[in-house]
Amino acid sequence: MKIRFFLALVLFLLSVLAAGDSKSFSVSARSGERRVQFQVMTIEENAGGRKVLAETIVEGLPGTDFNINLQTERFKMQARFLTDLIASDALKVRANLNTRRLFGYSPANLPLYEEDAQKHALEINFDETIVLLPFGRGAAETLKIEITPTLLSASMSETPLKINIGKQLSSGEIFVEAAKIPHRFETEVVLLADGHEVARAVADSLLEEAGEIVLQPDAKAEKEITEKPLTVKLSVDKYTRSRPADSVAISFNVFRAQNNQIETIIPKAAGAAPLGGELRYVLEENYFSGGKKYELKFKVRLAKGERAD
Amino acid sequence: MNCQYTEKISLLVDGEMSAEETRNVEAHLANCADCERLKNDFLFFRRQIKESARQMTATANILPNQKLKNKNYLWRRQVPLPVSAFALIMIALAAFGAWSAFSRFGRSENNPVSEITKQSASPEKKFAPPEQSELSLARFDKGGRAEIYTIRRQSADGNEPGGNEK
Repeated sequence: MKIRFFLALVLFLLSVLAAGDSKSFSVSARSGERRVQFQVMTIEENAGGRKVLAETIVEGLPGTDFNINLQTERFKMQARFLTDLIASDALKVRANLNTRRLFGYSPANLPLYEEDAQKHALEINFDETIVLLPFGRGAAETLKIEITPTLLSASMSETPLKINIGKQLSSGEIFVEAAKIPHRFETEVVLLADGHEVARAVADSLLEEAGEIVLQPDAKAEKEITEKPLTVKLSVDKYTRSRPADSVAISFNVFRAQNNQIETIIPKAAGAAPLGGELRYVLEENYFSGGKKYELKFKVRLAKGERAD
Repeated sequence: MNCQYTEKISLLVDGEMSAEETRNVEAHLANCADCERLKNDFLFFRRQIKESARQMTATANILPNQKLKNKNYLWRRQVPLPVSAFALIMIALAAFGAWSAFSRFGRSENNPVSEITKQSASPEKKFAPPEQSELSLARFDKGGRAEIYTIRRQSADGNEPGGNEK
């Protein structure tokens, strides 16, 4: 009796210690994570030198995105930056620049605008700076927005995304906003023939970056599927926080290639579904012989290691 | 009347006798009907004179105001005007006032909308930045296209960029 009681007591104490210390275990497991800081400085540069007009610091986990919005009376710029830590000392920054400038008025007295849209993919180290010139260069005085990334070691506490405004522009024409959403997803595509799976593929997808997924046919697939496998060019366009579940929006096209000849099955399609939910598309029968009904089934999940929060 | 007190009656009425003489005359009046009648006549005349004097004084005070009232000042003159004419004059004055206010507070030469409209009259005209305040970032806008590139950190202080330009 005494030994059994003693063993039970020891097990009880061990379980209590393990439960009480779980938090420290989880924290230490995440202590290897890093944080990325972006210093966004708005600078006036002319022959006389440089003058800092505004400064904002964005800090968060790798994968933190930020927007720089500039709006004057006749000009508007929206610059979106999607960032991903691709190595211990390298960042992948995808920049989308959209500008709009009032040019004048038409004879019908309607406003005429000059618009521009640019997409850039930059791979930078942490000793580099991204320079954005909203109004271009060549003038006597230039407006520059310098974005300087820094890699920080994570603190023990889980600090949420931070935006610190060091110096604000008095006119309020520039403001910075930031958000952290998942960037990496695992996309599963399945081809069904009369409801039975005949081909499948799983691939990693990066938010707002298209990738090609070639469906691998299995033994039950028809000959035309085996000889000319379908290829899906897919992009996860948007991740939306929602309740009860977050949702994703995708766009894709489907084609098959043989002997350098491309046959388009679906030229352009899009859809949205809860994360992990299914999207089904019926393919046109005239592209396939045999009289079977072919469907494509999509499922988008978070990639391994990616967090929703 | 042959009474010797006749002359003293007027003095009595006027109060110009001593007290002793007044008693003597009043004693006589008690016995002399003629002198009594004379005294009453003197008193009657004196009242009449006082009444006349008062009326003359009142007339003298009223006369200046009456003169003012009767004076025909320009702004007190009445001008005969029909109601319809008066209404037309008021409408004309109101319309003039509204036009004056509109011309003062309506569109002016410095309105930026009208400035842009003038620019659109010649479509081939290039972008012309409007007047900017020193605080606005619009002073940097010369119509150029946005650019983005990367530079090495040590070059960020104004030296020539040494990294990739994207």
